[in-house]
Amino acid sequence: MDNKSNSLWHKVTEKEKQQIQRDSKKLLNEFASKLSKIKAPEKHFENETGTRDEGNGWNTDHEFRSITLSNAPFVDKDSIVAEKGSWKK
Amino acid sequence: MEKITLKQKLKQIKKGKLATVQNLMQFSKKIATPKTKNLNIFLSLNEDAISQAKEIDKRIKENKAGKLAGLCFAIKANISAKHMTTSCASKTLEDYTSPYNATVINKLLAEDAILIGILNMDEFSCGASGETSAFGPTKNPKNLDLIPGGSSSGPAAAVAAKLCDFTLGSDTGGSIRNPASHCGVVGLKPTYGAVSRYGLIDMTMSFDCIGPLTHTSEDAKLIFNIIKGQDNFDQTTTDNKTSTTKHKGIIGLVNVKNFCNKEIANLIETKTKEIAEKNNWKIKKINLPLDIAIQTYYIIVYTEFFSTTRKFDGRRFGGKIEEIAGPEVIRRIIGGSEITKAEHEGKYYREALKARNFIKQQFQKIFQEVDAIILPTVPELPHKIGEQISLKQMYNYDITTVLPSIAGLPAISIPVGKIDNKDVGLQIITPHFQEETIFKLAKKFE
Repeated sequence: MDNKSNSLWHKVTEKEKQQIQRDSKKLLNEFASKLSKIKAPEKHFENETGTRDEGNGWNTDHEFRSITLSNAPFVDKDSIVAEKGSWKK
Repeated sequence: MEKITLKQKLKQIKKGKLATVQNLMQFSKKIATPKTKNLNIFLSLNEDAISQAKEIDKRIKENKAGKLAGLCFAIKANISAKHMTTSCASKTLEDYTSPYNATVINKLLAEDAILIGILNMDEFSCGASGETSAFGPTKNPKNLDLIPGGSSSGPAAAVAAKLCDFTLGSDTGGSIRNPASHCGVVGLKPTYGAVSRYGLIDMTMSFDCIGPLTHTSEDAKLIFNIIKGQDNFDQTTTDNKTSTTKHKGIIGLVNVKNFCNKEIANLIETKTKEIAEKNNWKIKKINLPLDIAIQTYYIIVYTEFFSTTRKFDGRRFGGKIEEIAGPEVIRRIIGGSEITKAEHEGKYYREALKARNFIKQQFQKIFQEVDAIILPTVPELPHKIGEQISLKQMYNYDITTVLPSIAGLPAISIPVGKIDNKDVGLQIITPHFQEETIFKLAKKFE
């Protein structure tokens, strides 16, 4: 965690991920320990006016639909195939 | 190109002294030079810009054009613009095309500004140096060896290199103000809820704000007044009607000893005293809870970032983020996952929310005594691109910018001088929705 490294982008190896996990835990425990000393009341927000009127929203146009479908990795006619792991079969 | 304000340029365009196409071409030529390409500022360009400019010129002649007619702008790669690639500077979304415009884009286009391109940034806004982009780091136009700051590295560098009239960035814990400081430009983080986030690919939704980067505070005011306002697509937005509170004539200067480079602290103090004397302001030394700033901020960021990235599973668009993203993005996802697993004990997120309340209370107390708070934007001078620094050093860059983010307050960074030929920014913070006070004060420093 206190080791120096550069911040340039690179592909993360599995070994590096494990190191990141160990460092993250250590860092978060350090942070949480510092915050546990703060004495402050907890606050909650309650919406007394009920739900907000969001209007009628907007209708998606033809382009919205075609771009959304073109972004998807797997499409069946006009639907996105998004079942978990379905592309691995 | 001479340095003029946006209002002056708009007058020239209105009078016919500068055509929209001409303005666009000046920027396009500059963007295409090898020198500019080496800065790695733009990720993609709007191919329809010239035809759009011609249409706007027609409207100007017919006196039917909008308030920003003829101005050219560019946006950070996490703001959605229809038909453009919104990659967040990540290979996860390198082929993702936005199917709609963010509200801020619709507002600017409605006023006849021209979007010229998409700008580089830290990957998914995770970074404060501009180095974590999967498409290579952005260089600081003022000194090519140095970081431009981040995460809105491209938006700050594009303004500094005069590649467009203004840019939009996003600020979670300093991502507009930090690069504005390092690149010697003005960057505004509006009050949380003043500007719609609809169409922004979020990093931490309870902190994120979209704001302008410009050459002057007057320019920032012009753009802010166009993009602000309540939006039905973002429930956190509001049209604030509260008037500016009566001025006390007192400025709070933050004691940053032990948290900041001495030379930077001295420059900010000297400059503040100089301007205060000229304007008959009193200065009150104040303390902010800087010692818990980073801890509170990063626990909330890790938690919310982990949550927001669950949609990048490679099923409906893009790739699976955990398999593609760089180290800082992975760190925040893994960290957020650890918090979520352990949160039943209330150890992390709950403590951070308590600390967030504490920080808000501290600001409320301080604003009973002062009109605005001044402190350095970044506590250190920019390092060299690729330089080895520790994670804690990197996170500490945010120490002076995260507190207003945690409290949802507006803040601006304006250039006030140089140390070792490196730009230094001064930060002004005011109570919620007091952007007008920010602009008035900032102008005194310019």
